[in-house]
Amino acid sequence: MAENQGTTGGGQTGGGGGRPGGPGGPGGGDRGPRGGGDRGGPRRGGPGGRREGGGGGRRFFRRRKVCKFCVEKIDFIDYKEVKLIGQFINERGKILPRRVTGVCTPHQRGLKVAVKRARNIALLPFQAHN
Amino acid sequence: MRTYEVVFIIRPDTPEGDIDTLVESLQQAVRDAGGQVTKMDKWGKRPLAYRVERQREGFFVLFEIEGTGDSLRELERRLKVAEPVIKFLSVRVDLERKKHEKLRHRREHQAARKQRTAAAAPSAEARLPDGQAQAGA
Repeated sequence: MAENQGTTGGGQTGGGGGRPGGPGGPGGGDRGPRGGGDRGGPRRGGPGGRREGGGGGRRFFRRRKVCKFCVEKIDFIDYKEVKLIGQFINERGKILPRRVTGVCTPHQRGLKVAVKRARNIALLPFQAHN
Repeated sequence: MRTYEVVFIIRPDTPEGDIDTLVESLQQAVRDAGGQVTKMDKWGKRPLAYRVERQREGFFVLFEIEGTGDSLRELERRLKVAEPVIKFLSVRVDLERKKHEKLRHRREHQAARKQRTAAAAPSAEARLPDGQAQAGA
């Protein structure tokens, strides 16, 4: 999932995961029929369906969010900076997915490690209710 | 010599004097085992994200240590045994830091190079992330 989306800037086409034929899909693959490709992760419908064949490509991938860490040129995601890390977990304490936060893959990995460390040292919860 | 970061949490109800004594004895333990405490930071009382040993807050202390694996092992042993210490976490940071240093150097080099080649036309070369892509791969 990560690789494809990295090149297209985090598009919503979850179905593109294992498909040959690259982004945009093979010629006939527009308006993705449901059964057409039920591989890859959860699919967010996105405007116009997952696959707009022939030039449409992926539009509207959520404002093209950029990776906050890339922009600020932060290399090391520190588990001790709870204020920073805490922006990337939801109300239940779960780590937010890249497609929501716009973080790039290597930074998401660092974020994952940092969150888990923070959890272990009780700076972040494992499970937060209400 | 490896660099480690160790964060540990002391029961919040321990008296200040005991905390100091404990911290000092841990530092000494590191030195005895052949390491050096390069940084010692007391964060004071902080709320915990979840209950640990039925406590909701704790006294946090950070050590940065230059030492051998053995010295860390010894410190961890002491932390485990110490009654007021309710949680600890040690992380090895030398390798990671070195890697980030390299990335940063490379980025600076590339930025400098771009500035030189773009000297004629004042193009906006401020934040070009393509250096990241290469390094990251």
